[in-house]
Amino acid sequence: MEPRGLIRLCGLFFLAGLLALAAAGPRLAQSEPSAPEYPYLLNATLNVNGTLITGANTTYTVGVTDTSGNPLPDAATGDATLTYGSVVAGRFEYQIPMSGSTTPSAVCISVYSSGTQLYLTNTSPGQGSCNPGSIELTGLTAGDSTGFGGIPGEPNNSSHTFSSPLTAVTEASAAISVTCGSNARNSTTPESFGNVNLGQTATDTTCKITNTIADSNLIITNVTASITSAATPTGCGFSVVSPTTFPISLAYSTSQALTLAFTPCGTGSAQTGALTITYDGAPGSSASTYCVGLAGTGVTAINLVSGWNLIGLAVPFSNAAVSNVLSKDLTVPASNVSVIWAYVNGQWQYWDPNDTTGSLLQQLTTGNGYWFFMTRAGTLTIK
Amino acid sequence: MSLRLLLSAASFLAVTLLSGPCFSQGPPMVPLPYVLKARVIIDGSELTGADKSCSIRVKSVDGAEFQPVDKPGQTYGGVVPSRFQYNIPTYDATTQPAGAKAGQKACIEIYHGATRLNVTYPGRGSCPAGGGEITVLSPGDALGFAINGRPNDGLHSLPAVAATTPADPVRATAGPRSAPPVPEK
Repeated sequence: MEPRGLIRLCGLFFLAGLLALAAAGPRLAQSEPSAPEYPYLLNATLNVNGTLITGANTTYTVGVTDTSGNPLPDAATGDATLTYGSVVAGRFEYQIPMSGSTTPSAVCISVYSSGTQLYLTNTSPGQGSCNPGSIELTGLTAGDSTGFGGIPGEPNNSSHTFSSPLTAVTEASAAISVTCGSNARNSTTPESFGNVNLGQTATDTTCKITNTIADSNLIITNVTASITSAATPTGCGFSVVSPTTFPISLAYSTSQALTLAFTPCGTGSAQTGALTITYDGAPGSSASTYCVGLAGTGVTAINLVSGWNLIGLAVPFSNAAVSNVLSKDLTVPASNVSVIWAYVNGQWQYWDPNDTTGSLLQQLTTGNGYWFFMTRAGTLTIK
Repeated sequence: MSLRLLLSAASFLAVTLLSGPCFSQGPPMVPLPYVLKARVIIDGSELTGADKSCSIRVKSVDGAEFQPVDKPGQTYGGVVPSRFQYNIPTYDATTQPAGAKAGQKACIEIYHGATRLNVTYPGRGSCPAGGGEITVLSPGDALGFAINGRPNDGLHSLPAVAATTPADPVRATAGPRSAPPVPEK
């Protein structure tokens, strides 16, 4: 080839090279990773009810939202939740998107079992500003990562690497409990005030609310008591004496003492009510309630001293038969009643335990006075 | 001067103390009666059920019947079958001045129709002939003859009242339990 031709050919290759560079240049610039586009990686092993989950387990999923509850789908799959072990066995590996307007400063992590949210009991990081059951990660930077359960985060320091797995409990154990004395109380096992004199108020200081969900941020927002068996109670029923100031924060395993009160609305059958505790404890919920049944019976109590007692009845016995009253409504055995006299319809009548056949007095009713001769002091309780 | 003051104070105290019980006294109350409960054996046979012709009277030893009389209790079986159950009125100056006083002797008399029977138990004591003596105890107590008294002890629970029909044929006609007179041929 002539030198001139060779020069021309080289010139063409040079031009072609320039054109190729001009065309390829912008494409290379577009694929260059920019810092804000890297996701934030969540690496976490999972412990559920004390058992470390291994391998791939489709029962458990993890979801990430911003603190307002808006989903931040996994950057790799675009799905709102990620199955355990689906990326790497024995862990969640969730890519939190960190691009554009979705770049969050804090996120909420939630774990689900077959779609039902579990309660994450981790305390560092803890619930933060997230809903109960979730934990909050803050200070997210694109390209960094957080590791739970011994998986190193990036950077590998105490803010990004946590020794504990994501630790979850099922909702059944994620609840507060109420005990009165040593007895558990709930909607089917009520707390009873027993017999309370009409016109008097009985207080119960044996009850307490306990945080059993390992949530240092459990907030009790209200505690109320109401009567359900009286249609229009006025100045009577069940009430909460204390606490009266809310909200109350309860650390895990600590308790809040309750003082409850009962003022009978009448006598007769047991009066019932409900103690309602409102708290933020249920996973994924901003308000949950726990109900405890309440019960009490209004009575009129008459103290009988040893010897003669003259009494009247302000309210009737539900069963006024003398034998029934003495066997069921007297705190001492009926054998301690020597005799009962009453002046009824212009005639003295008596009830004598040793001569019930000849005892004309068979009923104890309102409107009469009754002389009781007691060989031992006792209390007559009118229900 | 000081003596006068002392006398005044003493007078005031005396009036106050004396009038105190009057002020504290409540409305008049009919006192508890003393109960007489008695099964009755007449001429060896015990009465049962109710017998309107058989009655009881309770009197003081001088023969005055205690008042007010317990009319229903006066009849055998009139209150409770197979017994006399009689409320002896207890003395009260306001409400029952003719009642019986605790510790007072009293006489029970048994009648069959118009015939007064002879009470052989309890014994006559200081009662007129035909009567049986009892002692009125405390108001609210009960004297039981063959029935539990109250208190249920030996002082209050005694054997049944026993009576016999007088032999007098005129009176005997009043009672079915006496042998009917045999007409002479």
